[in-house]
Amino acid sequence: MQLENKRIIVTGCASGIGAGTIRAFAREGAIICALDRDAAGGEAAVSEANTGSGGSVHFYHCDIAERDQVFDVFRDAEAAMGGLDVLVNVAGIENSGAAEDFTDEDLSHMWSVNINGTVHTNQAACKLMQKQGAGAIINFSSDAALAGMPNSAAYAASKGAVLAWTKTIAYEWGVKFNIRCNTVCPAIRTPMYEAWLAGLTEEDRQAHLAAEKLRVPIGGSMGDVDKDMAPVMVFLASDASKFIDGQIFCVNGGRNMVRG
Amino acid sequence: MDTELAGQVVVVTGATANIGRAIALAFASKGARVVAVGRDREAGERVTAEAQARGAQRAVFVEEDLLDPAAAIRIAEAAAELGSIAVLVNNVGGNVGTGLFVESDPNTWLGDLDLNLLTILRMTHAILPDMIERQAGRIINIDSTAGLVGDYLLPLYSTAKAAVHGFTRTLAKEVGQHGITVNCVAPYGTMAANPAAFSRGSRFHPQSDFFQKLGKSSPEDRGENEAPGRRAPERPGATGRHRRRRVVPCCQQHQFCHRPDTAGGGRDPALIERELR
Repeated sequence: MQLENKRIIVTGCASGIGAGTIRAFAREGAIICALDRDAAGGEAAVSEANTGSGGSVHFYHCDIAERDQVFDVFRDAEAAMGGLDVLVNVAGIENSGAAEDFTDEDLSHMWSVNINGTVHTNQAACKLMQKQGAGAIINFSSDAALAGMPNSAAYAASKGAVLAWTKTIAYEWGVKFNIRCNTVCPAIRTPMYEAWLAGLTEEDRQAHLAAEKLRVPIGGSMGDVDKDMAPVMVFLASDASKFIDGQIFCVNGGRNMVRG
Repeated sequence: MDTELAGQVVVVTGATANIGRAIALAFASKGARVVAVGRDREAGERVTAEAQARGAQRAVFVEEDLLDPAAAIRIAEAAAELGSIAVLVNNVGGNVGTGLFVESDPNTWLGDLDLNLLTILRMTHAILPDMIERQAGRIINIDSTAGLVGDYLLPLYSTAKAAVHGFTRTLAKEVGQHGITVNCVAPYGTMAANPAAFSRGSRFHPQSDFFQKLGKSSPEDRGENEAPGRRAPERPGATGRHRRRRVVPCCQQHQFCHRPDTAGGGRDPALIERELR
């Protein structure tokens, strides 16, 4: 088991990549505090992750956009686990719309979760990790940040901010606290993606799927959370990647190929 | 986590030293059938013995110099005797030519590109048809950070490694449709605990003087005979002593770093200015 007794916080655990991550981490022997603002979804995902593993996953209700809430929950999680080795900050939101139409309200909402939420969770983790002189943080950006994404300008911009933030703390906190920080850019089938797909007209959906077939060298479509995403998360959380810091991992079957 | 590598045929070039050796042994520990390629038979046999000890299902050494254009085909044939190649690790290469580009000898360029780029192309070309036929395979090119950022004093090496990046992405697009992934890893400098186990040609071998020469800008500094006429002309402004193109000391944060940082890199610009004088 590659994560035996690693103490890990995962945000956005209720569905998609977060849920897949806690399932994989539980199988690899980690002790996990799983966070989400969706209590019912989060509890269900945690219960599923605990099935067949050691029952080491615990749910905490948390909205990462709320600074005080994040620091409180992280303090409780640390007390429950006896420390914090890894933070995986999956939680994020997406909204579509023409770039010229985004309102300040749209933007504030997007920033509050994707940017402020990243900063809050990272700072709270840093505070705990620096006490033990080591740690690993995995943040989520997107190919949208690297290549742009039509109709998702606000999302792309927020993920660009995550990238710049993570690169910066990878150096800053690496030097000061021995905390390593990496970024993942996934192209994985998630409920967020399925919902977006469902919102398209049949014609657009078929056009999109046909385009994906050409765009993604491996598999011809978005990847699977358990088969394609989870092993990379295990690697980045484990000591196998302890010399990797400040890097971008595009888990996308070769889609875009915007970063080498 | 099961890597599903047990019994899989893995070819590692440049497997007799440092990164390649460590990669071959890591695959061995997962029960793979390891084909270790190198020039130094004694070092190769040390690798295969160690690979067997670590759990390799098979471990064979193939003595070949990849600079020989026919070597890649022979390696592919030798590996095929163990089964279809599941993984090719193109590790062979090396930053042999160090110094300022302006002072480099054009006659050495092709040699540097051959070692760091064409070896990878030839080896990949030799094994691809089989992978395409089976609609499966992994190709891992060991690149370098030099290919991403450009390493000062390693102009040809950095250029070749940047080309490997381009090749990797292009080939990934070409063969993804066949279920073959192509990726590269870009390490920075690495050191091993037991360099004496390495091949004699390794720059890390205790008898190598590579690192003594590294960072010295001219053949004269490196203790080599300087060709007449290649010395940089004296500058009119030099104050009474011979003035050669100077190598700015590195940022001094890393053993292998030769980054001249014009912005100062946190160091006192006046100090850099003094060093330049």
